[in-house]
Amino acid sequence: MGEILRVRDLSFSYGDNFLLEGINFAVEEATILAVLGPNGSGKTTLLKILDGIHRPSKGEVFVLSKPLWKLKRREISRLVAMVGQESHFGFSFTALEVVLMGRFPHLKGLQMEGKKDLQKAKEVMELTDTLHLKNRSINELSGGEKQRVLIARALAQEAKLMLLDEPTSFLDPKYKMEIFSLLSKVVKEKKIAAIVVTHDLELSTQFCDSFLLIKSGQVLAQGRAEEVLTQENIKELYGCGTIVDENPITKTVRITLIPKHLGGKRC
Amino acid sequence: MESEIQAPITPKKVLVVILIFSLALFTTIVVCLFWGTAPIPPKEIFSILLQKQNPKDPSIQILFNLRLPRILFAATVGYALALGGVVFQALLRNPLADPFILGVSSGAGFGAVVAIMFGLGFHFGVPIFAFLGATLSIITVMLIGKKEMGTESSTILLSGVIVNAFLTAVIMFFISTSPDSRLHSMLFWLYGDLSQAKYWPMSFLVPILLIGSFVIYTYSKHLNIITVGEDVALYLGVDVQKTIWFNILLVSFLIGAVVSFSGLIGFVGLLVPHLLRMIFGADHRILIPASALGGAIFMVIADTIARTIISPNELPVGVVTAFAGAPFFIYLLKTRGSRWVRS
Repeated sequence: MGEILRVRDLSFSYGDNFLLEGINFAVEEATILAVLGPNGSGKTTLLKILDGIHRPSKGEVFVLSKPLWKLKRREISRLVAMVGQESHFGFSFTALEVVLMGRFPHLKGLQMEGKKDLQKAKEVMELTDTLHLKNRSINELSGGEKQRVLIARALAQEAKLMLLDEPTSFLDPKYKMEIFSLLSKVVKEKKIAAIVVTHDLELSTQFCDSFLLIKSGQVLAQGRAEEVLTQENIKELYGCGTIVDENPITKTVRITLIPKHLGGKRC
Repeated sequence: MESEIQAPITPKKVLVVILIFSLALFTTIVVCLFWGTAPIPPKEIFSILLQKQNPKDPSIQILFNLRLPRILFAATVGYALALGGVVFQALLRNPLADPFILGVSSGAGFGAVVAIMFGLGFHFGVPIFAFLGATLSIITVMLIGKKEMGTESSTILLSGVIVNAFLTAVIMFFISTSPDSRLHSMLFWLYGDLSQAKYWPMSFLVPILLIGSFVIYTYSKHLNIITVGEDVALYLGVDVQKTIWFNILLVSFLIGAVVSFSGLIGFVGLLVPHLLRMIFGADHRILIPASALGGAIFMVIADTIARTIISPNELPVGVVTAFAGAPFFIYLLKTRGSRWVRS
C-alpha cells in the first residue's frame, strides 16, 4: 500500500498562540482517517494546512512525497481536494456544472471542458449516484444529494487526497450512512485517501480505518479504533461519559454516550 | 443508463451567442437611427447612405453629427456598465451588485470632477482620476462591507448605497460652488446625459473596452468558481485574491473611463445580466459577452426613448434606466432577498 500523505512535526501558530503543535501522521491509499476533537481544537485549521491554504509555522506536509508548500495553487488542487461546508450557492449552477468545476485545475486558459472532462464527470457522477441530478439546480437538491455532488466534484479533480470538513453535519441518519458508505467505496475504487473531520462517533468507528484525536491543538491519541477510542480518551477529549463496547453485528467499536445525570460522570 | 452527457457549454455555443447579440445590436442601432425629434423618412436615410444627397443637407447633419455618435456612445456606455455589473456580481457573489449601486460610478464621477476642476486634460487627466475615484470607492465599500461575514452579506450593498450617496453629494457640492463652466451640467452628473456625445472619446473608449472585456473573459471560469465561494475557489486552484483585485481594478478603470463622459447612469448593470442569467444560466463564459452586448442594446433603446418620448424636449437617459431599474431592483429584493435562485 502506498503512502499518500505524510505530516511531519507540524505546528501552526497565530501570533503567540499555538493552534496546532507537534503533529505527526501519515495516511495510506484506500483508507479513511477520522479527525476527532471538540470544537475549536484546530481540526479545520489542520485541514486548511493540508490543502495548502494555511502555511504551517513549523514542520512539513508531503503529498505523494511532494512538499506541499512548494506547489502552486493549481498544482495542489490536482493532488488535494476539499469538500467544505458549502451550504448555499449564490448563483444557481446545475449539478453537472458544479461537478465540471472540479476540472478547473486540469484546464488551461480559455480551454473549455472537452470530451475527456465530460467522460470524467459522468464517471464520478455515476459513482456517487448523482447522474440523474445533472440538470437540476444545486440549490434545489436535498442536503444529502448536495453533499454527494460536492464529493463528485472533488473526485473530478482526480486528487489523491480528499479532505472533508464535517460532511455529515445537518444530515439525517440515512444520509449520514450514505455519505460514509460512499466515501469508503470511493477510496477503495479510486485508490485515494480521505481525511474526515467529524463529530460522528457512531459511524466513523464503522467506516474509518484510523483515528487522530486532537485536543487544544495537540494529538491526544492516534491509531486504530480499538486502540484509541477508549472510555478514558473520549472522556479526556470531549468531557463526556461513555460506554465503549463492541457492536454485535459489525464487530466494530461502539460508543454510547451517557448523560451526566444518569451516571455519566462515573464512567 | 444514459450514454453520453451534453457539455453545458461549447466554444460554438459562445460564438453563436456573440453573433446573435452582435446582429441584434447592429439592427437596434440602425432602427434607432430612424427615430428622432426631427423626422427623417427612411427613404431619405437610404439615399443619404447611398450618398445621393448633398452633404450640407440638414438631415445629414442630424444623422451623422447628432444621432449616430449618440447612439454609438450609448452602446459603448451600456456595454461597459453591464460588463461592470456582471463582474461585480460575481466577485461580490451578490446579484444586486452594479457599478451605480456600489458607488463605483459616483466614485468615477467624483474623480472626474476633481480632475476637471484642476484643469487636467480630458484625454488623460479625467479618465485617470475617474479610475482612481472608482477604485477608491469600491475599496472603501469592500472594506466597510467585508468586516464580519465575508462579501456575501448585504452590508456590501448598504455600504455601496452610502458611499454612492456621499460621493453624489460631494459632486453636487463642487458643481454648485464652482462657477467653472467646464463642470458641465448638474443633470449630466446626476442622471447621465448622452446628448453631447462626440465621436472622439469613442476612438479610445471602444478599443479599451474591447481589450478590457477580452481580458476579463479570460477569467470567466475563475469568476464561475468565485461565485460559489472564495474558499471553494481556493480548493479548486483559483488564485482568489489576485483574481478579485485584478478584475476589480480593471472594471473600475473601464467604468471610470466611460462615466467621465456619460455621467451617472444606474441599473443597467443590474437589469441586463439578471435577465440574461435567466436565459443562459450562471456560466460567465456566456454571461460576460451576452451581458456586455445586451447592455449596449438596452442602452441604445433607453437613450432613444429618452430623446423621443417627450419630444421636442428630452429626458436624461438615467431617468429612463431608473424608471425601468428601480422597480426591478425592489422586485428582486422582495422575491429573492440578497440571494439568487434561478426561477
